[in-house]
Amino acid sequence: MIVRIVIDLFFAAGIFFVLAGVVGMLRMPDTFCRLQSSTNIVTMGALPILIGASIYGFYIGNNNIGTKALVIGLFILLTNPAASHALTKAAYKSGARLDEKTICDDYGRDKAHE
Amino acid sequence: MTTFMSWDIVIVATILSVFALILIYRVYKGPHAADRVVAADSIDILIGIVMILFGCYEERALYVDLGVVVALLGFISTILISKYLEGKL
Repeated sequence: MIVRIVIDLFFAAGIFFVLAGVVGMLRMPDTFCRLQSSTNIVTMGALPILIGASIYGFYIGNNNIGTKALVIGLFILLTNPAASHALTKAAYKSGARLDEKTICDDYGRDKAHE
Repeated sequence: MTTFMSWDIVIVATILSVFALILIYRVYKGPHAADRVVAADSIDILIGIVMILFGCYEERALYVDLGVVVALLGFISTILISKYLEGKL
């Protein structure tokens, strides 16, 4: 029963962060803010659910599920920042507009001074 | 094949599927191409997690393998589309 409570807490944390990310994806005013919300979905939303699935897999004695869930969690943790960084740079270079309330654009200033 | 946590897994997978359906709105309406790509990538990750939860529900590791494949293909497609938008492809 303790195991069920622990797994449910992990699932609840993951669902809360996925909900926050989805609301941010719908409500943010800018392309770059939406990119930030998407990293919130993938990293903090996916990892607790994967850890919960891994605990469940180890608890019922099926080591395949537990090990593979941990491996996919490690893979997501390694690859998602790289993909998000590349996509942000591509969005800036292909002319995504900033919001009019933006007060700081260091990347554009550095490129203008080159 | 009901274990002690079948209902929890079913409820979590249903909520994540509803979130993935809500994100289709951003794929449809996003003003820039990066919005559509990042919403599609989030949907991809959520579908992978639902596949892993289905593997936990069925107690078979086959669907967990499919989740690994889906996450890997989503990463490769995101990198490729970002290189295309940047103009280096």
